[in-house]
Amino acid sequence: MRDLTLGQFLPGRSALHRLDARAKLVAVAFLIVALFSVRHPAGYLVAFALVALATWLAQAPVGAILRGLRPILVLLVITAAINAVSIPGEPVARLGPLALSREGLSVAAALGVRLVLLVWATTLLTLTTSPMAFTDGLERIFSPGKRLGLPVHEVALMMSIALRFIPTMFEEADRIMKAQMARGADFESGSLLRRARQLVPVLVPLFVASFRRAEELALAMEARGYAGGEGRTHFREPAFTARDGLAVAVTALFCVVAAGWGRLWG
Amino acid sequence: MALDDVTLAIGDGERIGLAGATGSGKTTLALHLNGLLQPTAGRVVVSGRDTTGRGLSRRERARLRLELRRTVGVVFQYPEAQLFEETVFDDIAYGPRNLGLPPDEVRARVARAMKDVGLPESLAGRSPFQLSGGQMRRVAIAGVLAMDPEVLVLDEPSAGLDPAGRRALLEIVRRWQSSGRRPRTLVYVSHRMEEMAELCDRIVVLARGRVVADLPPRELFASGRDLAQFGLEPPFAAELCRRLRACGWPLPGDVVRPEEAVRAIAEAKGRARAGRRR
Repeated sequence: MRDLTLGQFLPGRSALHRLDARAKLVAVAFLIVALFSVRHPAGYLVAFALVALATWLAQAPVGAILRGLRPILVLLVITAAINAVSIPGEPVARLGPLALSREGLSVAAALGVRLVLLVWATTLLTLTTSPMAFTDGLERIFSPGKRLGLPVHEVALMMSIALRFIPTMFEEADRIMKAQMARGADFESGSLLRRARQLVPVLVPLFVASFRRAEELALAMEARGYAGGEGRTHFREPAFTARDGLAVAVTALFCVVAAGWGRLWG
Repeated sequence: MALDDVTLAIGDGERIGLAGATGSGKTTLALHLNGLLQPTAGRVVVSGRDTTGRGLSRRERARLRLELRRTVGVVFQYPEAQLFEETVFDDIAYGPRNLGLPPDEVRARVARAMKDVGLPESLAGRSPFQLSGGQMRRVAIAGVLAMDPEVLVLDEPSAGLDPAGRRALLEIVRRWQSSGRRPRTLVYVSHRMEEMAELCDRIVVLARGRVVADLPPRELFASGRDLAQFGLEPPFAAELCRRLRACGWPLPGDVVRPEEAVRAIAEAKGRARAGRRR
């Protein structure tokens, strides 16, 4: 859990940090679409160039990002292996009854590259965007949905509160587990069923505490004048500047080149 | 580092106060006493056994863990947050059941623990979540007492209680400590010197993870040591007498409890009056 960089925010003053959250969200959305419509291998190189450029702009610790990729490595290897052996085509190697096909290998490689770039880009997004700016950006992007009666503000608020309380919940769970261990609870041994049952003494107090905390939070928010999203102003008014526009345009250009290679030319 | 270079011996039947400001490491130290936390360097030995269980097999280590939890009962800060069962009875029985005791014994233990903390039997079938805050805390304390520990560690047990609740709690702890076949061992973690002066034979003061004083209450407050630098203050009675002494009142330097202060002040006044008459 410690070296999980996915979803973590690293405060900083880099060019990527200072970009508007909306620009970054839109850019990542473009990249995702592009990654899934790449046809020619050169397209992945273009996408990689874009992600590398963003990493350089973010002045992000590359080591930490790569370490963050480790958890998906298992998933990656398994899916790539299944693809490599299950797709029929010209065989290049044999492993007992399994045949590795050229087509399978190329699909597996493409899948791997896609997944790595995807996680890399989203890691960069959360690494350079504070949870507040992140949810605020989401709310603004989807704000036209408000006119359709979608609870955009509420969902964004729930997201930011949930993010805010994840560490608190971990702490609370740790404390309760210790308290039950002091009463002889054993979370480390026994059958799976026994272990699952041992979680009840942790989950019940955790839920009770969460409900209580939610009530207190609601009271505290009301005490400070919260009355829903209507007419609410922001302490930091994000401005979508020319720089943000440029960033989105450059991303779009890269994405078009990546997805168009082998389609529009070459 | 939460704790650094702590050397401490707690004898059978001793009543220890563990004092320190927030963040001084007193809770961390308390959790080392039953093996919930283990030292990164050095040793913690409880009844002759090293809490890390180094060199033991998996099974032996599990047994050691349970044995440590039974020997040293720890009541956490705001212990009512750990209640989870449907009835008060089941919640108090959680510890004894984890020890693998037979149902008869569990029932007897729960009944005794409820009596020890002054909960009426009629509450046994109620949901712990319907009780008042003070009662919930008693249920949580009973849940630890029902494991019949030889050492009881209480972490800020009076936090959030009103004066009457605090007095009742001190009484519960005092009674438990002295009512065993032989005096039981008590470790009372708090920053309220008043309570420790009432209950304890020895006060260990922690500051920034180190032991900065380890003295009987009387000597600690008489030593003139400036407790404020450790984020603590002496009991009201001791502080009152110190200030009166500074104004020239002939008072003894080892006053700790209110009734002692009253007596000392009355005597000093009597002496002064007698002196004037002469």
